[in-house]
Amino acid sequence: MRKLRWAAAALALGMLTAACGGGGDEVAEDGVIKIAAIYPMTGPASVWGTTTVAAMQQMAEDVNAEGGVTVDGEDYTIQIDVFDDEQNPEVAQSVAREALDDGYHFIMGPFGSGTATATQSLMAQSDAYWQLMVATVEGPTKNPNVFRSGARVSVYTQSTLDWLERHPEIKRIAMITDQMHTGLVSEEDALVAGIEALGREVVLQQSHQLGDTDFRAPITEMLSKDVDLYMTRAYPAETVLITQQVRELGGEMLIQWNGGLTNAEVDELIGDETVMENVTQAGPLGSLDSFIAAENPIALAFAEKVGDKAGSFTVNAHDGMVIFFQGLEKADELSVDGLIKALNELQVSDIEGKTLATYAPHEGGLVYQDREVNIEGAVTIWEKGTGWVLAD
Amino acid sequence: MDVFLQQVTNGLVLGGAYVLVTLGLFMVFTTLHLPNFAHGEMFALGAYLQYAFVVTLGIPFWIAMVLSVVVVGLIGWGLELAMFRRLQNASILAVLVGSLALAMILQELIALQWGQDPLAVPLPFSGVTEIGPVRIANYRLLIIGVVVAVSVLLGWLVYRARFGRSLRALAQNREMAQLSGLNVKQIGTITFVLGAAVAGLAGALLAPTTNLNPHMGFHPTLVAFVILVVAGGGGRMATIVIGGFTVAILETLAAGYIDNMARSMVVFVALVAFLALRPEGAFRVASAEKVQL
Amino acid sequence: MTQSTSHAPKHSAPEVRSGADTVPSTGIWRDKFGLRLWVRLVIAALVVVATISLSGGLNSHDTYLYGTLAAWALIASSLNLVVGYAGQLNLSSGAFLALGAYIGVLGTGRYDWPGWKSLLIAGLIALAFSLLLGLVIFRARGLHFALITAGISIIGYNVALLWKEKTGGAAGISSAGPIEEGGIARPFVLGPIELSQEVHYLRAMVVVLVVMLLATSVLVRRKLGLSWQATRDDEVLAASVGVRVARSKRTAFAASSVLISLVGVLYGHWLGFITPGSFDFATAAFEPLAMVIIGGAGTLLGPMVGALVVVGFPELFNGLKDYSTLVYAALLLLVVMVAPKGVVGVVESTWRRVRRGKRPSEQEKETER
Repeated sequence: MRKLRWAAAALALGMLTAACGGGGDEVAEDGVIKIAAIYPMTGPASVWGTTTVAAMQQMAEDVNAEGGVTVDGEDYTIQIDVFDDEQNPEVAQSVAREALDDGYHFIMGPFGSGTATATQSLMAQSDAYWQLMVATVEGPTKNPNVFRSGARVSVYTQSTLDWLERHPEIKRIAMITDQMHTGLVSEEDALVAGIEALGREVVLQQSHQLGDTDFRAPITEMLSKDVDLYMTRAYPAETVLITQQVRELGGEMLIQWNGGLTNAEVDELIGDETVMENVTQAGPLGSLDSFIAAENPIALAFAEKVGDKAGSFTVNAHDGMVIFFQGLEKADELSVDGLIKALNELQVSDIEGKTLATYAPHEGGLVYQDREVNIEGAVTIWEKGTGWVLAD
Repeated sequence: MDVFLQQVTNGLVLGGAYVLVTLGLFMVFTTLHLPNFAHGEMFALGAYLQYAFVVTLGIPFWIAMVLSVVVVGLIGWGLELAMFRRLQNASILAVLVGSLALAMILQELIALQWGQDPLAVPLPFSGVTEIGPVRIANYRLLIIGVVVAVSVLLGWLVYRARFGRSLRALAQNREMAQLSGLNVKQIGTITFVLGAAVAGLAGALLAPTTNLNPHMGFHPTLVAFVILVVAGGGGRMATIVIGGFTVAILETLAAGYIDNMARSMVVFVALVAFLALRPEGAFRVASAEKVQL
Repeated sequence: MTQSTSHAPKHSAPEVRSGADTVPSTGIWRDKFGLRLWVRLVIAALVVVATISLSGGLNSHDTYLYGTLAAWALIASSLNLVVGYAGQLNLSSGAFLALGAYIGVLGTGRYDWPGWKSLLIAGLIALAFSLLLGLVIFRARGLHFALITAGISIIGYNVALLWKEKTGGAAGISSAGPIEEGGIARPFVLGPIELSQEVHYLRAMVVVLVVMLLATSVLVRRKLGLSWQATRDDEVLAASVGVRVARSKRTAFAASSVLISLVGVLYGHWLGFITPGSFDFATAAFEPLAMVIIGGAGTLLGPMVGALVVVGFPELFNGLKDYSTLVYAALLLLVVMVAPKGVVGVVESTWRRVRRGKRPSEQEKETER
């Protein structure tokens, strides 16, 4: 009850200050900009939530150590407060309301597509700034206050198609898609159309469900079709099982993952490297692995700092915070509207050399167009002893 | 490769897992009439203990397996003393809901100890055997061998050994068994521990073929109950083995020839249809409350 | 405050135990079943007035939290009819909840139906399904009954997942139309009443809950309700005194299932966006059953207490989030092992003991077992 009264008081105070302040609302207190991060910290997706948040916290620490972010001539430190959505749509709605009630103006997340969709209606009704770093789902960014700093789901498709174009020897393609992975499901038609436009044949489209453990039946069907490439469009756990069972049943063809597994996860879940021969991975580069393999200095320095807290979306978190900080620094005033205006005008040259991923400019050299960035994915291939490296 | 024969083989591979989980459940359900929905968690514990022994502690695979089976048997013992013994005369609702609650508790404890991320146990040996037109991994062959061995052993225990006579007496009529001087409590405990140990064996043995997660026991338990109801309600142990393989082959063929998404739907549609037509299960002599071994 | 209805069926049995009559329960406030109708009406009116006047001051998160509680109290109270009063271990609630929610969300989001049309269609389909299923499921008993009803929920979940043209598959659907176009959830329009904000839903759900509980309290004293309880307590005995056992099971199942579907229409609108994940076995079939049992099956207030424990505790004790499932599962096990009448049953018998200042009578020991 005390909490409730406190929240009511805070709300009343917030309304009062908003009324008094007129246009510019108080978005920082005592030189601190507070960010609400809505990520899964418990539950099955917690490994992604905790590593992504760890990278965000690291970025905040780094910028605070250098004196903070300068907005309109004043320095502010960054504080990230975490709200656990358990990767559950209903819980996401609940904690998003809590964050709005508590007066947060800058909200990072939610992390997943389902949770982002569930909070979409709230985003539309709120005055806060929302930034999606990982969720690929279409919809939320239709709102003028929702920006996506990570890749859209079409990047998975595009990176596969670009790579296929360079590999004319791959003619017959089969794919299996996790029906719970809403992003990849929504892209399936575009992917098939793209493959056929390249003059290749999609001989088989299969489905499975999150949590399946026996894939021998679909794999046997696939093996009877003599394919050159088998695309496993699934989450990590199922990706690994499918790959192991393909090899067990004698399939030696190229396999392409969309799971975004890191080197550490492959070691943990597969161990046996013979399985990993001819395994590639397509999509946005979310983990530091391939950047480290290419000796990218930013990646090496950042990897040192986050240590074993590195994960599948560390790059998304790093670059998302870079863009957020740059947006704040370019803003005329510290307000949600000021930030939105600055982001809409942000130039690629402003963030060049600071981000890990390459942000291709929209028309006019802009980072954002309709609140979406233009990020390129890539195909990586497993190299024995090294891990993921960029594929030809 | 002959696709149909390979699919049937795939079904046998899956069936091995199903039978092993169902056998322990069958022991407990037919003797003690306890529909134990926490049975799958004994399976999950077997797998996680195998992980702890092999990956965390570095104990050789086969020794670890013995340890896992023993530890799960001990846990089963504890549960029998603390909980299932008291539920012996309780309503079906109490046993069912109580054991589901226990299942959730064990899942949460597993998650607290080992986390929610999938874990993997390495295969003790690899290699694939080609038998005519079909391929089967050597480890899968071993699993099928173990299933057959365990079935024969349990069959001997129940139908040939002295202990089995007490067991069957208990299954048929608890009061009569007690009156005729059998130590009903002791037999109950031994049966429950045996059932838990077989589930633990299934978990430890199947651990390298799957990903470990805290909820891994739930689906196998549901399938095991389907097999129990459809094939085994009051039937002999042999029908459980045949039933387990049949359900797995049907599921695999549905996945291979209809749609992979249809696989679990097929099992549960079959269950509902079956119970709608035969509400007392496969054998009219048996009811859900009192079954005979 | 709570009324014990567990004694009621005993009156219809030939050998009436003296227990219920020895409780000094008649008078201006109480009749032999519990509180008199006018007392219940006053309490109901007070709850409605209090909710409407107090809910305006809540912040968004608390409104959502109380809305969640009200929604699950509604679902559990509907399930209580068949589980608590008729004594059937029904696990099919997930399928009926999903049916109502999807019809509601599709009706508003895609077909532009008025609210009453969604309610009517959901109710009719649920009625048809429950009557048809009622013909077959009650032939199975015990474990087999639990399994066949659980199978129905699991099939319902799979249909929601696989019937993509209608349900949107795993990606879900929203009452705002196609998800990828963004937008704000659309209101639920029932004639002059329009539910759009969170607080409207909270008020509407509390009003519906109060009406449902009042109706239940009347129903369980009438012939139909008494026949359900008689069936629950002893089928053979009930049949011997002229209760049509099979029919009373079917009516309880149909009433409960239709109510759950109607609640589902409201629930779907209130969520605004639904996925099959909202209707999986654990969430939509087992949790409501757990609520009924934890709170006290066959008691009027039990399902509400159960909803508070299962969905309220994780929010109220935020620091225990990692342990919230553990806590509710442990409580469920405890109730099953030592207090089969649930939290309400324990409170009730303690209250009675305190009031009379003496040890429980033989009859009470009987009902507590």
